[in-house]
This record gives sequence, structure tokens and C-alpha cells, in this order.
Amino acid sequence: MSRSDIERQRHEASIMKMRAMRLRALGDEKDQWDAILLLRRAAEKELAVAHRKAVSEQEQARALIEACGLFLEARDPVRATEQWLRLPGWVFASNTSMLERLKPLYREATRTFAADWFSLKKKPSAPPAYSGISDRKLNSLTKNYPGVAEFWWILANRKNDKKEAAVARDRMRQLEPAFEQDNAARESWEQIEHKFIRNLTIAMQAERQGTILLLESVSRITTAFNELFGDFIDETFGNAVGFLPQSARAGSFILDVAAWGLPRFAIAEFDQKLTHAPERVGPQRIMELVALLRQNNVKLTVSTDIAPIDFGFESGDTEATSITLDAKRCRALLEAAKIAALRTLDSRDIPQADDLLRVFKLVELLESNEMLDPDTLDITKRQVDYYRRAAKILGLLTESDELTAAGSHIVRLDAEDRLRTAVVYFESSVCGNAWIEWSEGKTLLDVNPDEAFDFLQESVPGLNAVTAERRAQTLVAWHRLLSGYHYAAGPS
Amino acid sequence: MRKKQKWAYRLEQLYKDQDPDFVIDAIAPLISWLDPSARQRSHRFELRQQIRDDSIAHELVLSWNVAELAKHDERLESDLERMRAGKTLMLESKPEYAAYGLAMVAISCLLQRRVVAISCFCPPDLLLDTTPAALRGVEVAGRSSKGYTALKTALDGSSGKRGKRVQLLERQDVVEAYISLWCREPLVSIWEQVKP
Repeated sequence: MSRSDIERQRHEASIMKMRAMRLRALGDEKDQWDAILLLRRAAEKELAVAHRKAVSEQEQARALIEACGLFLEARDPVRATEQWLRLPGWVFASNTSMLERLKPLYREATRTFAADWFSLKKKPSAPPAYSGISDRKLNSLTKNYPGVAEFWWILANRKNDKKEAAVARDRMRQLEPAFEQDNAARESWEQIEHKFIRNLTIAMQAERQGTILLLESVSRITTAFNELFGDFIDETFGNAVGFLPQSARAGSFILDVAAWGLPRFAIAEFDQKLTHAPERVGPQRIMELVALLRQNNVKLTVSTDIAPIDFGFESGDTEATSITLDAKRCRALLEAAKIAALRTLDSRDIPQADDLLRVFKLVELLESNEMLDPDTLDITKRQVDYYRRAAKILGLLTESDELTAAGSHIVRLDAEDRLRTAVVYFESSVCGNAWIEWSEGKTLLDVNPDEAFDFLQESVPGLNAVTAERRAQTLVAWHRLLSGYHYAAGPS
Repeated sequence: MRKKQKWAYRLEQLYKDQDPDFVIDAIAPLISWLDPSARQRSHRFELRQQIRDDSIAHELVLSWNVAELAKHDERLESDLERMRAGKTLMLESKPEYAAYGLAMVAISCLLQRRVVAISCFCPPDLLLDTTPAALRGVEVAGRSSKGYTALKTALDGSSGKRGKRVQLLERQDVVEAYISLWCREPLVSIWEQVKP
């Protein structure tokens, strides 16, 4: 493709984007459908540019970003994810600004899609069988994801009403003409899950002969790695990853995991940051994991099945697909993490649950062995994790979600006494203590809540401004509430 | 602030100044945003052009004749009618779409150059030159209210959201960049050259 061909493709894509914008401003269902088709065609044209060998890596990344965004706008998170996972590692660096617009859109769209997809699955290890999806669910899926041709294909084959089936078939054909052949559509359906999932192998092996791997150490190491790696991906790549255990093998302990949404460069980036920027991963938690590995004489190897993508040019990205933490590496990591820990705060220690009373409610639910249901807590599923983390930060829960003595105690108190007690718990938490020290004060009352954002920016390396602002909101909310119940405030 | 410069621009002219394939779809969102009741067909913007520590205040009077514009776009009148009837789904995107058309007007007046491509997810939005590693373009935003305060927020960022200026400054592949911001209530606009 010559330069002028590339410009022509881009020009045609631009015309389609402008027309789609206009149509989307109109309320008619036909206009909305036409907009979806145009957005998809525009994405395909961007991809035609991206896949040319003549284009530079930078130009290709821009075309992939644009294609990903257009697929999202066309309500097709499946094809958007395909492009997202092809993005080179350098575009995720915080100072390139290339993903500023796309990242939150992608995160939200794929989070919602993952929830819908999992609701279709009968078995965790197999993709959902399309024959088992109810008509009601299918109608909802085509409404929420009208750009996903696979859902229209199922609907077209399902509908008894000939007219409705014809509409579904027509839409399917407009999106993916190849789906006229059932085999092509079926194969594509079966591939959807593979677009989101990477197989991850977590292998634990005794470093010394005669050492036996106990279930306790294996599960603690797995939990520590899961949290460290999962949060690192969330912070670095902007999308949450779900780790779904598939099977375990005997001998050395080998766990096969389906990692939903695992970015292509996650392991390479993680490996690099562990060595060169442990503050970006979380020094405290690196030390925890390393301590577990050393105490139990375990070598940890984590690998993925990601095949390198041939873009037709030398990429500056490293594509390591495995990482090994053996005794030698652990020693080096421990040294680096210790130094980093002295000067930084781990983002995991910063709460992001604005409503402290809801944190108590969560502890109450756990105390009474009730499910942590988002509806009961009136928050989203993702926020449940934030509130659970907040309870851990206050020392009310252990890392394995069990109530501590402090947690059991706080449940017995009335609302006011809970807050009085929480003052001390927060002040003595890693975050509360660091905030007070940063403010050169003695208690929470010496802290200026307006400086929460500055405190986080200075103390938590790699925390981007948006995240810092969100976490600062939580600190301000906690400060506001707890100040009124502070032991040093005197009677009001 | 330097002296006022006046511009009188008729939207029909945009078909000559910019690529008609882009203009045709920029006009309807622009008109329906500026003129929801279809009563007024002339709008006076105060356009502040930032040049380093100084600024120039422009007065941009934008006017149009729907019948004339419809000669280029046969569905214009019916689309405007539907937009006015409130049959729109994307209310929150209205300022953004309208600002694309307004930014094309500003580009025509202030730069006398043409937009060659549209980039929706990777700034700048309106590209004047797509040479790899040497992009030139204009980043656009529209706000419904709060005038310069809202526009400054988009420019500089706030509440943890990074501003448009810093995003463009960080992009090494962008060698020439402008920001064009528009507000409907009051009718004010900012034009800033970010690079070089």
C-alpha cells in the first residue's frame, strides 16, 4: 500500500466517522444501526492502515487505538479487545498520553462485557454453549452489543418469527458477510473467549531437595502473586484481569489459570518493573511474596502462551512470556524492594472506599457469614473489592478476608464508637501514618485534607493524576468524618 | 490583551474552505447546538486567541442560511427538524460534535488550512497533516455552559483529569498543535497554539 493509498483509506474512514457522529445524534433506530455499520467500516479501514508493513510502529499504534475506539463505539467489545491486545507496550507508558481517551472507555466496556459473558457460562473451563442461551438473554445481548455479529447469528437461527429472524440475519450479514456460512460463525463464536483469555501457568517448585510443598504455602504464595500481579496490571494497563483457575497438576505444584483480559506485555512489563522500578509494583507486597517464597524454599515460575505478533518490523518491545523468581532473584528483589519501601507508599495501602460506614457494614456482613452482595451494599461488584481492601487497610480483615480481633470488636460497637475506634485504626494504618508524617503532624487533626492529592502524588510512585484524585476523595471523606470523632478534639 | 479583530463568517463558505465530505456532516450538529429553537441565524462569539503571555480578542459572527446550506446536503432540513424535536440519543455528545464544525470555521479563519483526517480517540482530533512522527492538528472540545471557566478547565485539567494542553505537549509525534474550545452559554471560545 503506497502512502497515497494509506491517506485515501484514512480519508474514507474520516468521512465515515463524521457521518456516524451525525447519525448518532439522531434518535431513529435505523440511524443508530447505520452509525454502527459506519463505525465498524471506519475501524476496518484503520486496521487496513495498521496492518501494512510500510507503516511505522507509531503510526500503526495510532491506527490500532483508533480502530479499538471505533469498535467500542460500534458496541463490539470483542473486536475492540483484539486491537487492544495488539497495542505495543510503549503506548501504556504514562507519559505518552495516547491512551488518555481510550483507556476509561475500554475499561468500562470490557468490564461490563465480562460480567455478561460470565453470566452465559455453565462451566468455568468451557466457552458458553450458544444453544443454552435463553431468548430473553439473547435479546438483551443484541441490544447491549449490537456490533457483535455472533449474537445476531445465534438470534437468526433461533427466532421462530420469520420476520425477526430475517432482521437478525440481515444484521449479521451486514456486520460479517462470512457468517452466512454457519461454520464460520460457529468458529468465531468459539473464538470469542480466546480473544479475552490468556493461559497462565503458575508453577511452584521446591528449591531444595527434600522440601515438601504444603497446601498452606502454595495457597499463600498464589494469593500473594495474584494480588501483586493483578493490581500491577490494573494500574499499568488500565484494565482489570480475572484469574480463573482451570486445573492443577501434581509433582511440582502447577496451576493452570485462564487470565481474562491479560495484556500481551503484562509479564514482560511486570518483570522489568520488578527489577528496575519496584515502587511501581508495590515494595511491601513484593517483600511479602519474596518472604513467602524464601520461607518455603519455593521457586515460582509464571508463564503465558502468548505468541509474538509479527508486525513486519523490529519492535522495541520486549516480549518475555515467563518470569522466574528463584532464590537468587528473590535476594536481589528483596534488596531493591527494601530501598523502595523506605521512600514510597504502596498504592494498595491507599483506600478507595469513600463511605466508611459502608466499610463497617461489609465487616458486619462477613461477621454474620453473609455473602458480600453488591446489591446489599448498594455498590458495584468492583467497589465491593475496594471496600474489602479498605477494611484490610484499617486492620479489620486479614489478607484472606477473615475478621481480625479488631474487626470482631468493631462489629459489637454502636455507630459513634465505631468511628471513635476507627480514628485510631486509620491513624495507625500505613496510609494514615504516612499522611500524618507527610503533614509533619502528630494526629489526623494536624493533617490538611486539601493536600490529600499532593500527598498521594508525592508518596505513591506511578499513581496517575486521575487515580490520585479518586483516592484523594476517599482520604478527604474519611478525614471529614473521623475528625468529628477524634480523641484529641475534646467535647464538642 | 491586544485589540479586537472582527470576523464575519457564513457557514456556506465552509464548503469551500474545508473538505465538503467532512463539512456536510459537521453542519447539522453545529446548527442544532447553537440554534435549538431555530429563531436566530447569527451568533456572535468572543474568541480569545492565546499567544504565549498575550492574547488577541476576536469577534466571530457566524451566520447561515439553511436553504442555501441544504443545496449541499439534502437531508439537512429534516435532520435539523428531528434534532429540534428532541429525538436525539446522544445529548451529552452534542457539544463535542458541534465543536468539530466550529473548529473547522476557526481553522479556516485563523490558519487558512484544511482538515485532512479525523481522529476520534487519539488527539489531536482534526488533523491538518498526517505525516508519520510529524503530525499537525487541532484538538477540539465543546461545553454547554460556564464560559471561560469551563474552557480553562478543559485546557488545564482539574480534579485529577489531565488537561488537553499537557496531553499534546507530551506527544512526541505531534509537531504542530492547536486547541480550539467552544462554549454555548455564553458564546465564547479559546484558540491556543500549543506547538511549536
